[in-house]
Amino acid sequence: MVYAASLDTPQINRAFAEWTNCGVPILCDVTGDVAEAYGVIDEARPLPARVSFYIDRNGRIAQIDREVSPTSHGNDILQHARALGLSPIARLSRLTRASKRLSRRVSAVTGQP
Amino acid sequence: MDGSGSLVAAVPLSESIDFEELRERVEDGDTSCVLVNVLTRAAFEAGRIPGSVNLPVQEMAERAADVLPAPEQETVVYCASSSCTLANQASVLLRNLGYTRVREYRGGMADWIERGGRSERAEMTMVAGLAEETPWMERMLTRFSPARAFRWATDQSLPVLFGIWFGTAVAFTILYWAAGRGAIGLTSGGQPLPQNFASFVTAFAFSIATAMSSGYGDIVATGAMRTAVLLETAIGLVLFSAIVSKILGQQQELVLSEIHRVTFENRLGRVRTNLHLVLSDLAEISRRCSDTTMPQRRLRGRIESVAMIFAGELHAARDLLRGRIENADDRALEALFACFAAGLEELADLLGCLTTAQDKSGSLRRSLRTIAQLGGDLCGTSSRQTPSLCLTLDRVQRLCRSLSDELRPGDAAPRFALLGSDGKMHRLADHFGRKGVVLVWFPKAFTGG
Repeated sequence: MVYAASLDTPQINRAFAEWTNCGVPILCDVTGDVAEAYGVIDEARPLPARVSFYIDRNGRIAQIDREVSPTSHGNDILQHARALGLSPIARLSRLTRASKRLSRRVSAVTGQP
Repeated sequence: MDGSGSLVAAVPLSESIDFEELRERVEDGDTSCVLVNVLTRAAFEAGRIPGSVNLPVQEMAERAADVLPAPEQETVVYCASSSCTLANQASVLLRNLGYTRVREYRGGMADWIERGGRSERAEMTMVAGLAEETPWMERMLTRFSPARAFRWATDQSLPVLFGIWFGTAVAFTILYWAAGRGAIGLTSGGQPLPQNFASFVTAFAFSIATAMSSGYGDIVATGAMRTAVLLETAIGLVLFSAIVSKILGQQQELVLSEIHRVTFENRLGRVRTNLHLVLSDLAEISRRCSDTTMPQRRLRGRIESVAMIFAGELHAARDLLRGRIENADDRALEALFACFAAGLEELADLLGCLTTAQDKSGSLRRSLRTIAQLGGDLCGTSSRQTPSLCLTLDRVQRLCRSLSDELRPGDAAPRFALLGSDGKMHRLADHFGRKGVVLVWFPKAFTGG
């Protein structure tokens, strides 16, 4: 199961999920407690940093990816999940496509690749 | 020029042209109008509107007829900016000289560039022109200038330089000696030197003295050999001064490395002093730890501040290790880092004083994370460390890492129960024993990922 997570409210994240059409539930850690427990809060902003946690079926952390690139993200997750032997996740390919689509949109808006 | 000042007042403002029209005409390559830059030649070369000609207002009266041969042609004059009056002077002058269709671009270069007009520089043509005009002698001089020779000489190593210098002296010795008797050889007291071994030694001494650019009174070269002496003096001057400056430079490097060493020891001493203060502070706080009368809030504040200072000192020590000089006293560094290790253990104990996890404030967490990060940086800072220093560093690193509560692979993932964008509640525990979970944190919705 893949979850995205941010500190945004369910309303905003629902809109975001529809916009990206990524098919992955976005968890809404409105209080920030879970982000704090995972230690992903970027002190300077303060917002979560782009960090991905791969958690195995026993609830242990298998791998932490702290160098997440917004553009190649979907692909990275797919590769990592395969390498770690986590159960194959059909939605990931959708996530990859959505991520690519999103990065295209973002670069179209910002004018940067 | 003098007359133009009064003319400006007497004649009404000339017809102007605006940026848009001018750009259109410039881009179309309109040849029906001629663009005149009335600034000095240097300013014209530094930047101008493409296709303009240069006619400084000072030279206008004399050169207008040459540069602008057709008085009935449309002429646009411009200068540096709207505050520059030269264009206006020029347009008045030109009309007085019989040019009928003079227009003024009042914005000038400043307006042209500000609005995104293309400007052209004369650099390339100027340099090419110079190269063509330079006489061959000047070119040869720039190619074989003494400054260039000296720069080449200072790039060589000291033994090579000395070898070349000595070789030159020997070669000239042979030349002086072999040139032999009579008119073109060396003379001593008016008598030519005979060709024997003693005279070879004399010629050698003369050659060395010449290569050192110092005279050698009693022996004199005669005839064409004087030219050879001059040549050897010139070569010797360059080589010998390069050798001398090399030796002085080495001395300078010695002084510099000494300065580095003193600075390094200075910084080491400062970190050591500060660290001892932090250690005594830590000991003081840990005594208060069991003291129940002290409010938890104050204890927390003390721990926070001491962790912050500790992180600062560790930062300084890390930089010290990175800028470690050669032949640094590794024992001093080792002692310093042993102190850090002791401090870290104390700090870890102190954190136990804080009864609840919530007591760890943001700033304390931040300090601990910094300490963990700096600890990680300690590894591999220098390749030439003694094994015992490495061991100490390794210990500090481990202690640093254990201080931070940062998650690492193998740790139990913190549980969560959060509302998802699909409106359902998602719990980590729901997936236990069934499937793995990937949790992807991102900063904010609609931010690209």
